[in-house]
Order: sequence, then C-alpha cells, then structure tokens
Amino acid sequence: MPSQLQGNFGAGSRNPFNYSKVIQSGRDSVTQWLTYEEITNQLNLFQDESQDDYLAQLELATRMAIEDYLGVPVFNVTYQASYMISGLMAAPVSLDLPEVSQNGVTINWVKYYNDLNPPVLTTITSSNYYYDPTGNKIVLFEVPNNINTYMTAPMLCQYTLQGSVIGQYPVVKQAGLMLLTHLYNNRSATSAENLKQIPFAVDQLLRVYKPLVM
Amino acid sequence: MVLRVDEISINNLSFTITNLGEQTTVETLWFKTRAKTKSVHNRIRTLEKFRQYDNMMDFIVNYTPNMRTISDNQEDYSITFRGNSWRIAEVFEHDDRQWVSLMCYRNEPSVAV
Repeated sequence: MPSQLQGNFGAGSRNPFNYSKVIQSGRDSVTQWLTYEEITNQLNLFQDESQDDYLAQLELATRMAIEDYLGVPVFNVTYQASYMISGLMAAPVSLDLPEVSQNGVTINWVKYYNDLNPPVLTTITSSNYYYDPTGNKIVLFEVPNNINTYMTAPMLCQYTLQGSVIGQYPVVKQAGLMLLTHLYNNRSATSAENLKQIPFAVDQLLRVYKPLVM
Repeated sequence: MVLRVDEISINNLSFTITNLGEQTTVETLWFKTRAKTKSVHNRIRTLEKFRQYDNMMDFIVNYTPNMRTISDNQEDYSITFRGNSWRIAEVFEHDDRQWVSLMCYRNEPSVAV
C-alpha cells in the first residue's frame, strides 16, 4: 500500500499532533534586538545612559514577549520534540515539528532510546532522514528495529528555528518599543488606577504577523 | 494630544575664584536628555528703568541614576533649555521613583528699557 494511504503517520500526510512533548531547549538571551539609540529615543532618555543595564533587561523581556506572542523567533530558538511509538508505525515515518518557520529550520539531531536496560539514547545518522519544508516535518526512512517499545516517547529530535525576517520589520520593532515603554512605566504587576489599552497599539501592530498553524 | 517633550542639556557647574576675588562659574555639558514641559512661558517685569526676565519652569524627567545624583547635589548642575541657562531651585522625586521634577529658575540680568 502506498505510504500516503497509511493513515496520519505516513510521510505523505501531515499530522501536527503526532509529537507527545515539546520543550524549549535553547534560546538566545544575549543578542540585542532594539538598539539603545531606539530605546532611549522612545523613552526620551536620549543621551542619559545611566540606566542602560536596566534597559537591557527590559529589552530582552520585550523581545521574548514579542517572540512568544507571534510564535515566531526574532533570533534562533532550539526545541526538542518527543514522539510516541504509536506515531511511528509507518515507513517512511513523518516526525511532524510543531513549528511554522519563516526563515528555515536546522535539524540538529534525531535520536531514539534502544531496547537495552537501561535504554541508551542513540543517534540516527543524518543520511536516514531529511527535513520537508513543505510539511514542516522530518521524513525518516525507517524506524530502527531495536527502538524501545516500553517507553512512552522513545523517538526524539532537536531542531533550531532560524530568526525570522519579520523581527526586523519596522512595524514589529515599533510594537516592541511600545511594549517596552509600558514595562518601563509600569514596573509593578498591580496598579491603583485602571489602565486602558489604546487603539492601534501592540496587538494591532503584531496581529497580522502571527502565522497560521496548518 | 501629543505629550510635550523638549530637549534639554544637563551641565556640570564648576566654581572658581580669581586672584582678584571675583567668582566665575563654568558650565560643562554632561549629557542631553528630554524633559516633559508644560505651560512654557516667559515673564518679564518692567521696572522703572529696567526689564527683568524672571521665570520659573518645571522640567519633569525620568528617574535615572544620573537624576538621583542631581537630586543629591542640585547646586552643582544647571540646565540649558532653548539657549538659556536654568538653575535648579527645587528637586522633587515622585514617590513611585519613576519621575523627578526639577523646578528651575532663570533670572536674566536686567536690561535697560
């Protein structure tokens, strides 16, 4: 039977739910997104540089919040996904990645736990799989015979999303500056007065750049 | 309404006394920043023979480490705003530590009518 017809787990189809667990395993917490010049102009601090260390923390928090809101990385982010054994009953196998990359994905490794006691995490050579950018998935030619069938999610992969060009759009950076201004001016989680959102602000600027997850 | 913000310069003041006993004050630019300003106005008093420019203005700036330094030693700093020198009469740190109000005066020499 053609693999395309073998249900949702075959490589020809896409099943965005065949991973059982996803963790964020690496994130750039150093590279500056909004420049000091942009920030100090926005906050009217101009050449007062005495708060730059504090502004650097705010800038980092702002960038991460924007990345999380959009689901799109401004700078590289690394994830690790695990796959249950029931999702591997096909040849070739589709390891769907929970991502909607804009600027590409790097597959760092694909590994599995073997059937030894205790199980050993074993690397699958990269010639046995490739990344399918049309379906956001890894196509694995065959599952190793000695994969552990008792573990919940014995197949793992690690991939890095490349920073998206969207992060450099002026409209997205402006949304970042507005959010940073809010964090700068409101340093507490509570307020004695009712704050109001203004129209055409952060949500409005960013919403159109949230990718659809298909 | 767009918040009114103006560029100001913060200057260090150094005071010296010449051999003749005359005091001189030198202003040296420290940094430029921006302040919220409101009701910017000029006041002139016409005395019998002189015009005297006599103004008070409030510059509201973000509370930063530099502003805290100014707050502790207000007599050592001046503000240049639109080409004129302003001295700090009163520093008011807002309780939320977000803003500092610098109440400044500009007292120009008397000019003959």
